[in-house]
Amino acid sequence: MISLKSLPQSPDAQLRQIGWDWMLGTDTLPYLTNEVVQLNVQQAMGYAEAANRLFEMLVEAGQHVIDQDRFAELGIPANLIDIIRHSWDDDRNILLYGRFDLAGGIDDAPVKLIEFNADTATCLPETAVVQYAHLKANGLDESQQVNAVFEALVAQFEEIKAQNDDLTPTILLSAMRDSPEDDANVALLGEAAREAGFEVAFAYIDEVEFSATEGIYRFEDGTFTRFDFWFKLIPWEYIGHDEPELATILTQLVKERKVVILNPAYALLFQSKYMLKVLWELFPESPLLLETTTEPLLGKASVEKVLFGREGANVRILDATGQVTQSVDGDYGDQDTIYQQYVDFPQDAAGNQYQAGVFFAGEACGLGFRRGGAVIDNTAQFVGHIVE
Amino acid sequence: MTKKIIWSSNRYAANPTHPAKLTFAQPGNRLPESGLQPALADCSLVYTYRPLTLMTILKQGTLLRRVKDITLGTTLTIALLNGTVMLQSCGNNRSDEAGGSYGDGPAEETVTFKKGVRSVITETAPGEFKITDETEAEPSESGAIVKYKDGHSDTLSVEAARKLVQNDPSTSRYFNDPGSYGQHHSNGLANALLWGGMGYMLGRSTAPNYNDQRYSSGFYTNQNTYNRSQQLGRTITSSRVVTSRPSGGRSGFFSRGSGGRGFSG
Repeated sequence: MISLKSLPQSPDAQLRQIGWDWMLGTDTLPYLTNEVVQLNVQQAMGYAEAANRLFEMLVEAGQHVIDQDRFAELGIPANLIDIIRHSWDDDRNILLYGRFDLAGGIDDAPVKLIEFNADTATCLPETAVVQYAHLKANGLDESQQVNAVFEALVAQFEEIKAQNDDLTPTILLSAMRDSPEDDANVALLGEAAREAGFEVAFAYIDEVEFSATEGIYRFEDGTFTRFDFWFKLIPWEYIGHDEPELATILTQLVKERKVVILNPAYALLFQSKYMLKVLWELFPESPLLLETTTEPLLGKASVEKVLFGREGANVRILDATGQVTQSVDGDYGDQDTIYQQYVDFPQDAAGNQYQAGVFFAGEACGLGFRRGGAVIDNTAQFVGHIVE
Repeated sequence: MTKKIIWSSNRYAANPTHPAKLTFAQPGNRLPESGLQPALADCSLVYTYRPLTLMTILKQGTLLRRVKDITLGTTLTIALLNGTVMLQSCGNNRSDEAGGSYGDGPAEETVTFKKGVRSVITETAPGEFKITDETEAEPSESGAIVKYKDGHSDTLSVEAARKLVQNDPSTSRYFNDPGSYGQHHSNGLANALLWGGMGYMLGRSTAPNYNDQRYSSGFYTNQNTYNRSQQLGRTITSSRVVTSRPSGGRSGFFSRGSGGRGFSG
């Protein structure tokens, strides 16, 4: 049972002040809750240790996919394979960050991997800043939180800068237009990069100038400024499918070292939910994994997921006989699917379900929760935590 | 063997007090178009993160793995041993962009700098020149002061310096036929310009390579001046601005709109 601690003083005022109004919710349910999940040290560390171990397993699985040439099974667009291989083989391409979504970890339920958001994970402001502000607003001690997300991002940017010191530390950060939530995530990353010594600028993806022979530029006030690093909160598979010309340009730029892209293209390997099946093939004994196959699991409830679904879209829950008991629509219906053994999320006294999100930036560095139903989607609330 | 540097070494081990601060208090040259930025810039909240006891415990568990990674990762070890010093640069003052420019590759794109350098180059033996001082300067103030052995001195503008290194037989090879440059290397004035801080404004490659560092350090009479020039190089190269459209450049990707689509998993 998830135990909650009431923190009646909401950090609304602080959030409005920094322009993160979107977190306050326009729907019927406010996005932010007035309570936090109460954990003990052992539970908090359990999540972090699970994330660290899972990342090591993912790296092995990634190497396996590369060695066995299993890109097609993972649903990787063919026009991205070249850049994925290159980014994987050149160790200067460091994964900036990702987020593990986990079940279990409360009472005696073992921590289980639901998925790893490797490419364009969000919830950074909530995890790094909001839940911290929530503690402070209620006069509590920030040391009672597993939350070094911002520090870890800075350290990761410093490492990226050091590993690529033949390049100028200038970074352009891009998101899609008209998504304030994405803007806030990108703004936070930009702050971390700035603190790590990068010159930082922002431009929406449709404004960015790409030259296959020269690099990535931001156009402003009549001049084109070149950037040696580019962070994009745009899924790699979108680039491969929707903008194949961009995929070609980026491949050439990365191979000729005209730019370092974050997250690197190999993040798409981790992002594909088929990786859950590869992990299960390689580590069937791991207590952190749920059985995952390409066919509905016989005799067990399972969850059908499309390979590149996001925010719980196109997810169906099947009972042990294969009957669909719950179904979520979405835009990704034409994709291949995998089936992951169903597991209950931890619940609170009111029956709400909780998914733990552990950020990984070089190592596990922060924890937060999403609260919703059996499928955690974009209506799920963010719930912070306190370690007591 | 698995990929080993996807995760980075961690700074907490080296710097246990890591005084990282998340501050939104500094208005800067960021995100003007998003509407988010003014709010960020106005924010008076300063979030200060302290090392957490809990996190310290956590990190002990991963320390062994990190040490192993550092041992295995040659490039990582080198980076840690050498350390690099980066300077923030790039003021926003557009009027500072009067500095030199150079044609760069087939696109002939024009590059200007917002920061420049002023070098003092001294003829230490007949026909041999060394850099005796070097400081950061505004682009319009940039250039080289050359002190000859006979007592007279000259001031070379960036443009004059560029003409010299592009036309002098000892340095023109560097631009036209880099592969054969080495045998033309000399201690003459053109080489001092190319391999000193001025070189960053004259189109010298910024990719570090062993010969470049050897050539470069050989032109400084003083190790401190040389070390300072390395920082200057960073400042200058990161302040460059391209004023012409890059070759074959195109934009407008994803402009068909996917408004409001978020990507959390």
